[in-house]
Amino acid sequence: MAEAFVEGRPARIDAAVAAAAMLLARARQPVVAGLGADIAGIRAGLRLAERLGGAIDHMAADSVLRNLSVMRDTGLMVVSPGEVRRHADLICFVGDGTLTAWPGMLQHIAPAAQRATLVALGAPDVARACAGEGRAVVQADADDMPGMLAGLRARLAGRKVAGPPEQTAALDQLSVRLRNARYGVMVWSAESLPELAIEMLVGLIRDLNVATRFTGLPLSGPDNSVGAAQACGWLTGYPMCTGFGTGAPVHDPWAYDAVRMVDSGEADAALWISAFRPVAPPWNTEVPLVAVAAPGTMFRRAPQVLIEVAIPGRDHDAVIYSNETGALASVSASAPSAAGLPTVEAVVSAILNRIEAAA
Amino acid sequence: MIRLKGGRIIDPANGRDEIGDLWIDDDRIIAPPPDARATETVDLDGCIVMAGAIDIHTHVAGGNVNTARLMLPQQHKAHARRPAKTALGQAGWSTVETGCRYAEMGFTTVIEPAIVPSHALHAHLEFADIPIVDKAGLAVLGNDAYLLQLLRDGQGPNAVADYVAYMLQATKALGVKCINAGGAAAFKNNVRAFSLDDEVPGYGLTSREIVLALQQAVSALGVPHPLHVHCNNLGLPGAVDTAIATMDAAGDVPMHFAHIQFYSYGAEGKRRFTSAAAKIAEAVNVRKNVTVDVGQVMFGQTVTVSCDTILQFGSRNSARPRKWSLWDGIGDGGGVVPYTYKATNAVNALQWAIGLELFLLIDDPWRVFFTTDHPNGAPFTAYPEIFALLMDRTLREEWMARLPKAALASTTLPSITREYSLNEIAVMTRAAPAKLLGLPDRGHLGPGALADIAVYRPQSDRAAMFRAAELVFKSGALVVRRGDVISQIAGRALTVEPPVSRQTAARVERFYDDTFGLSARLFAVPEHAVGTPEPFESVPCLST
Repeated sequence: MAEAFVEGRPARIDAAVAAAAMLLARARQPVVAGLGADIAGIRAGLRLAERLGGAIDHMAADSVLRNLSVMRDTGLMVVSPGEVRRHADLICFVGDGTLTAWPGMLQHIAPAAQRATLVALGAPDVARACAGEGRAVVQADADDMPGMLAGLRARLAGRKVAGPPEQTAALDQLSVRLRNARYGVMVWSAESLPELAIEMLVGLIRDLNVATRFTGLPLSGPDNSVGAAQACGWLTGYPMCTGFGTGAPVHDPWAYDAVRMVDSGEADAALWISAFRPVAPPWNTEVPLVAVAAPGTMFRRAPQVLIEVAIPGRDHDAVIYSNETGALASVSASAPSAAGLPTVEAVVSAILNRIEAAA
Repeated sequence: MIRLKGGRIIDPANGRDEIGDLWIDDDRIIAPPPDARATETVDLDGCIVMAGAIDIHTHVAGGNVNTARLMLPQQHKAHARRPAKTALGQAGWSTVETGCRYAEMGFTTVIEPAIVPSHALHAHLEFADIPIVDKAGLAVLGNDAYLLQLLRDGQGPNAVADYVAYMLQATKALGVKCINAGGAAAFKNNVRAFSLDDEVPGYGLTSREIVLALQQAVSALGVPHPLHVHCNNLGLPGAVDTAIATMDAAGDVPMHFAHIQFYSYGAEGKRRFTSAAAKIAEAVNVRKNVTVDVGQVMFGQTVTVSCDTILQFGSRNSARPRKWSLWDGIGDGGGVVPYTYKATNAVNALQWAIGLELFLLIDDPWRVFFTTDHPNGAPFTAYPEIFALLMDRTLREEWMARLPKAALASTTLPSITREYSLNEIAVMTRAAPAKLLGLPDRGHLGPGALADIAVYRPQSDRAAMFRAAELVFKSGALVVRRGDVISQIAGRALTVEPPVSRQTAARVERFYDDTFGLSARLFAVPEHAVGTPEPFESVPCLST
């Protein structure tokens, strides 16, 4: 049975859709936020944001945009995860958090049978996981990650670095190891590395390719954030944090950051989408809110309209970015539910249709 | 029933160039009904009527194209069509703009020639979001571990053909392309140059063997479109020899050579970079099994997008702006390197001239195809200027007068007087592509054809004429009026579906699981995942 609420009271779903349409259509600067949805839901969210002349953001935009920002500044060298497993002879995990971004990562790209040398560079989570499985891992601390990576680049280029001799010796040891790899891969999560460190890291990968082969496996935040960046990319030319107020898409990660828009009072209505997990909006200010959310989401204050939706890939078939393939994948429902909460696409499209019918 | 009345109908497939009427019923062209009663009559007095144009090689969708979009936000500030006086428009970067800009020029079918199988679903999702025009993809094979292993182990042509059939089905593609076959696999082993007779490390297989095995498989399966080949050594001085050696290897079996301009380079002269267009044109003229598309270069900012990772890595220092991306995929991958073609640069000026030489020196408009290898030579929005250059010798002279004289010294372009007729343009962009791709109901205006129709209003500025069609019908629906899109209907993706044995499917799936830790099914493109109703249209294979 579909669950929908208007002003905290149970409502029929079409009544909730009508209330959502009215709330959003009335707004002068609405924002579509959260965007935790499958590709179909993201497409619908984009169409609605465009129709409203609003903005679109994703709850994990920070990490995706950190990798994309480096790509826009310098470009990136990357590899498909399956190819890491098949071909890499050295895998270097850079910074903490790669296992948070992709819990199944080690089994996937570096199963025990895979003979690659594993290096945990400022990556205690990977070091612990390897120790737990009794696997050898080369550990290197990196309190100052950009400095560490800059030191490696400097030593690889045969330049001097400041610091005690034992530190230089450690840098040299690691840089020789990297240089001697036939096919090395740097793995990082943008959730835990600052942008400067990522830029230095991709520069290090480029430098290593002068003599050998090296590449990168960047990871980003959850909730299909990479899928959202891709779909926004092909539909608008830009990733998330894009506004449609001028009639053409304008991308500005500061101006169209949903939290900033709400907390500054710029946004006067929000559509919050979180279908994978019950996540509440992260802003601190009250704003007229339509929530299209997984069951069990705890809101600080009841949204004006709440419509509960099915979980993509669990309750229904969905297209979602897959860490395993490094691409968008068609995922069959793992526990298809006959009860049938609606999908994000169905709800958001219904809101859009309602707005267009009223126009 | 719609009657298009009194236009000049240019329909070379049916030998027609005359003033006449065209009748549309639903989505088809029909013979004039005896008791002619149209629900709508459109007076096309003075207009030119052609079938909708077909672009056989344009990078409009997929992971690599999207990387280019995301890496180069500065490239798509202006989605809008440029004013007529601006020589080059920017590529329409979003999927929506891509469909609209193509339709406005009278194109109704476009082929994305580089569907990387691991990203096939991504490409089809983008296809679904490109409105109006129909799309099709060519699956890129030739660097994939499964194929290389089959060949290394001498599994024979039937096993290769079965595998190719599996990949065509899985990726919902219309044909097969190979891109510097073996090169991307070699690059993963730190090989930096890879030619036709070089071996892929670990496989003891040459590029030549891979190309020929794929050619044989495509032909054996009866896939209408011949193997689409991106040769080794693209862009290098002396690449002419590689291209001609590959043509020789093809024997008498059909083979399509993509963006041949980028190979029509000799290594003579002071700059060690000369035009070999005449040599290539001669080679094409005498080999009736060979077709080529040009990959014309036009001046301005663009971005090169290619699965040829060796090439793209080698081009990294020429990136303008100075940034580039490179992806090692499962099998093929890709590289994105922005580039600016400058009229003041002798090499670029020569590339521009070489493309035009090829168009004008290859005799048979049925075997030379119109492309810029969008966006590699220029964005597709530059097509109208190129049509004008092909049709107008004086215009070419005006352009050449602005280019460095030394650059043109090794070309024959200044001496070429040929001007394309409208009929030849219609062959090259309509009739011939439909034949090459095996689409019998497209590219012509005979009864039974799909009602994909472009109407142009003649004017002295031919580029202006082709930039903004007077009317465009897609599958019988009016979608463009006076150069503006009025209706964004959904197009479909064209596929071929050669039968696949269950055994092959099981073998491929086991291989993916063992080697990559992945289910091959993750690469599949199920109809329900695409997100539009009836996203595919199947094209029959030839009986073999």
